[in-house]
Amino acid sequence: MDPVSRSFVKRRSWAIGACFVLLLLFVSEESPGAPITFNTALPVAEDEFIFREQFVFDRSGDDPSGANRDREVFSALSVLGYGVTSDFALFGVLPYVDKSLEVTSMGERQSRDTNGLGDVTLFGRYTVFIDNIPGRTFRIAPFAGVELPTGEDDATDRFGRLPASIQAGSGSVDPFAGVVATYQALDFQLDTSVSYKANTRANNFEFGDVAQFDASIQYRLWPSALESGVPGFLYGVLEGNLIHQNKNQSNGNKDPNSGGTTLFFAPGLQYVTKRWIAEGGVQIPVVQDLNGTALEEDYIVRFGFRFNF
Amino acid sequence: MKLSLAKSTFIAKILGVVFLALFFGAVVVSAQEVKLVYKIHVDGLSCPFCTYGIEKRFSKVKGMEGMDIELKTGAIVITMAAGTTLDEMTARKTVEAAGFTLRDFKQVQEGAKEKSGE
Repeated sequence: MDPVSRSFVKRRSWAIGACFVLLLLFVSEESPGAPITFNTALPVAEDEFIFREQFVFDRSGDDPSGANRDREVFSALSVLGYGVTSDFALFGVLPYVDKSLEVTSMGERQSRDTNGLGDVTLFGRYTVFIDNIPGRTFRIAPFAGVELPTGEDDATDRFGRLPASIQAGSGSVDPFAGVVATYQALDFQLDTSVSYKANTRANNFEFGDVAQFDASIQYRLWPSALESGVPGFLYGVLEGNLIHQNKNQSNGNKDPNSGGTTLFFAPGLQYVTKRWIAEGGVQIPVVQDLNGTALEEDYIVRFGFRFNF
Repeated sequence: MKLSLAKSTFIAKILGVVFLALFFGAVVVSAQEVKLVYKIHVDGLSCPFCTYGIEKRFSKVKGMEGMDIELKTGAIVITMAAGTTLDEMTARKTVEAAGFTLRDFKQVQEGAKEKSGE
């Protein structure tokens, strides 16, 4: 990245990438719906199930601290949704994470890693407004839930206890809430969401709260004209994720080298049939306004599938 | 050989009973063989993945034998099993349970009759 491209990026002090890891988990766990990176207000029929599996690869290697940090996180997110009624749906997310961090410290290249099941997320979504017309629908649905400390949060290696940022779990109970709106027509779809997650303390450590604004547009690339029956749709997708995280706190003290604001653009493709969906996309950070010398994102790749039953 | 009047009357009665039995039996069989077909229009239906929800809800309607969804127009043709019917209230509740809105409902025709003995 040349100096001109870097000119809009502020440099602050160092963070192990805690905020990005958590942002990744938060964003990916909020995405069982039609957009690839976040939720939707489209209905889950009464007594219908939707299963989703999404694989996420997060690469961060642009390190302004000079420690030559290189972080890779692989996640497999299993999501199950259930329509209690046509207005109220419940979702559960079970992540598997594999995290690795390499850093040069005192001339020595250190490698730290962990893997295992992460923190389970449970949330409900209730549709409060519906406007159905021929070939179109507009819906608004608030949602709320909690991330539970089911993942291991005290893993150790030869260097001692792993930093909170690369533990599989947070150890804390973290509630969140938001609202999503969806406008869908036969040839395109718009989704937008705002949400807030309050991270709480565990092991004398507290990740910063996360506020997030997401938007998505999907346009039907194929077929250009609808045939009879229920044909499959190929969508071109463009999403945006604006994520702000407050500074972390350790032993009651704010870490000046954590938190910040990131804007992702995420192009993708999605093929939709009556019974299943296949999709993939890549989140590219176009703006990173971070505190300290926080490790910058390179990209996040997502691909997966969903099916109903 | 000439039959007595009593015997002739008896035979005629037997034939009459047999004829009536065959006639009403045919009517009953005919009624049971008819499959009613309905056509509804659903508002809010605009993606393939969402159509499964409607299909699953209607599969729970007693007598529902088959359905064809036309995503482009939101039209759904529902075929009921012989001897069963679908009322508009049931159709409306079923569509709403899938998360959509029933726009209209009508019976379009009687379906093809099954061949007896098959």
